[in-house]
Amino acid sequence: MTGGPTSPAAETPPLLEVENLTVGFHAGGEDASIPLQGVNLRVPRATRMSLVGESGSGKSLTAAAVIGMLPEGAEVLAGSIRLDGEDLIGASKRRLRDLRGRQIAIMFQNPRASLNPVLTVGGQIAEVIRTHSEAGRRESHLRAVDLLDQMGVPDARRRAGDYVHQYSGGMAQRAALAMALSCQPDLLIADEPTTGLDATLQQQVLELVVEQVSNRGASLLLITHDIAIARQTCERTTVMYAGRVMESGPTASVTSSPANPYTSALLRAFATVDQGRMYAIPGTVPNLLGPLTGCPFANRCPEAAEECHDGVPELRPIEDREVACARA
Amino acid sequence: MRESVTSPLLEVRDLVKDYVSRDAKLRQRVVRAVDGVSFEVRPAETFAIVGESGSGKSTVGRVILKLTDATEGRVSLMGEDVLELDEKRFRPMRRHLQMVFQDPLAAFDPRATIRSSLREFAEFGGERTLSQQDEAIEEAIRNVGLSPEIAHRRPAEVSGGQLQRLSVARSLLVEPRLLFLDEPTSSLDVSIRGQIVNLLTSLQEADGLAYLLVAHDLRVVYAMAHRVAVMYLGQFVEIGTRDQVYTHAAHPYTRGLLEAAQLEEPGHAGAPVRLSGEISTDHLSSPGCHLMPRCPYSESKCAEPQPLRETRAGQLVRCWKAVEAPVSIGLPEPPPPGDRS
Repeated sequence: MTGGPTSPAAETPPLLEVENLTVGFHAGGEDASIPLQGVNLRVPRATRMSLVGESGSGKSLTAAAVIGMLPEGAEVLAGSIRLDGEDLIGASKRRLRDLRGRQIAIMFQNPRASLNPVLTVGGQIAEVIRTHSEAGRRESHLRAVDLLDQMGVPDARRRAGDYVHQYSGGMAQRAALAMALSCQPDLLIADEPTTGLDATLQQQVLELVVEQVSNRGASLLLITHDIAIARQTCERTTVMYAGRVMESGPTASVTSSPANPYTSALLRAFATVDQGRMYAIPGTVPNLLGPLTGCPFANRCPEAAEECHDGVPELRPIEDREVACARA
Repeated sequence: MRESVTSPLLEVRDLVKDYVSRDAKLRQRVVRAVDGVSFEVRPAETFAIVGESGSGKSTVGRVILKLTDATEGRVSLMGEDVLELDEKRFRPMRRHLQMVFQDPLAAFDPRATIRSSLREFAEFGGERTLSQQDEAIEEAIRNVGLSPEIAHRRPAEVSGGQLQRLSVARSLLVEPRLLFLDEPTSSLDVSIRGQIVNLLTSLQEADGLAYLLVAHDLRVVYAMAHRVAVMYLGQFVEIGTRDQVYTHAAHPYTRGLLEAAQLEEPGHAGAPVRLSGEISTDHLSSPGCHLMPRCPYSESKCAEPQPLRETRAGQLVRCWKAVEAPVSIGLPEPPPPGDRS
């Protein structure tokens, strides 16, 4: 499923461009923290990008900032987010809402979070179609049924009249995808879309997401903790750790010859299993109560040297990718 | 692979568990969550049950722990039939069988310090004095690779990985012979998961502890298990040694699971299997193979009851095709007779 490496489009601006994004919670308060500290992320057009990281890495918070839905108490302290060249941080609430419906769509881990429990599945998809197009009631209903059918919901005409609680987990995630795609977005953000699903179902849903996004020429930003899922679905991969991007590039090369020691460690934690033993990264993730003063991984890194504690390494281009490591 | 000749610590025979539920029209409906499951766990052995949610794997654990009653079958722990025992007579047995849950935060009292949560277990049925209890607590905490100072803290003040270590420490305070591990790593990050796996292995090597591991993470099961049972809709569909199940998987469901998990290693023999649809209790009504509606190889004979049959020495599979016509379902030619490895 993984496509070949694509050359980073230098001429045309990327669809999504996040620069130096810094997000803090309760700035100035006693419980202040800075979970995102200068995140850089570019998603080109018609590209599937995965954002990989453990909990606390800031991957979901980055997505939340992109769609303008930061949690209570969080604020953007610095940086910019541009979609198609348009700055999203300065945008009005009304403009953001408009963009969310038209250019960016999101699907969550729990499909039931994106669907209204008291409206029929088909009815609410039709409503989105009606809001974003000239289609009338009948036309939008037919398109909703068609969309459910494309997502592999069997007997879509009948199932469109059901409520989401009547759907199984896998079907509900298909319906959530139909809902997300109903406004024909340029960018689909999928936040751990298969984490709650069973293994055999996960694969079906991931394949569907890839197929549907690619057919529409849209881009995908897939947020996942599982590097194996990134490998199966995305052409490009960005690895995050403790509020920073550690490495970004073509998935095939990032996962086969990682340039950042954190990426190597994460890959080892997935792959190496001897009888009774698994690789574990020693130590724990740093708490981000204040600004970082060195590489966030330095205290756990097998290759750390003195220079690693001295200044936060910037993301810099190395061959086919970008790496934030003083020693790469 | 270790072959133990010692008698099993835990022996489960023909276990059945029915749940009664009501459908939307309030009609009574019996769901057979566990359907004739048999296995044993020996000292120093890890026996794993893998399966998707809804497979019944956690129900097996709940019955063994007497958290719910069995419908039929026999469970013996160190030779005693525990299903026959009432709560009072079971209590002394419970010391030998402890559990570690998926979410350590839910397993600790949020208001109590770690020390007081551990103390309940350290009392050891009143056999230990207070200072012996403190000593036992400190030793247990060191034993899981933490510093005893952590005992003053409350659950919210330690990391998830540390708290899972502490829940292992707590269950070991009563010196059990068998631990029931219910998804012990699935609430932990990948980089931490290995720490728990390695800890559990070291403890097993040191004390001969036995583990009954229930998990859906095939990487963790591969690292820990000596023998593996694959469960689907209440039945074991395949049982064997770890290597038999991972590299010579015969049942289409096992192969579908392995395919979906995309493990780097080991490679498994046979064509990749893609299962369609999803697990559903609607498929329970058939007396035949429960996987039939999702299996790419199904045919009419699959609707007949499918017993567990041996494909290799010690490897059982609930699929007539895997035994009689392996090549037709994309398996390699069976080894010639006399060369059953």
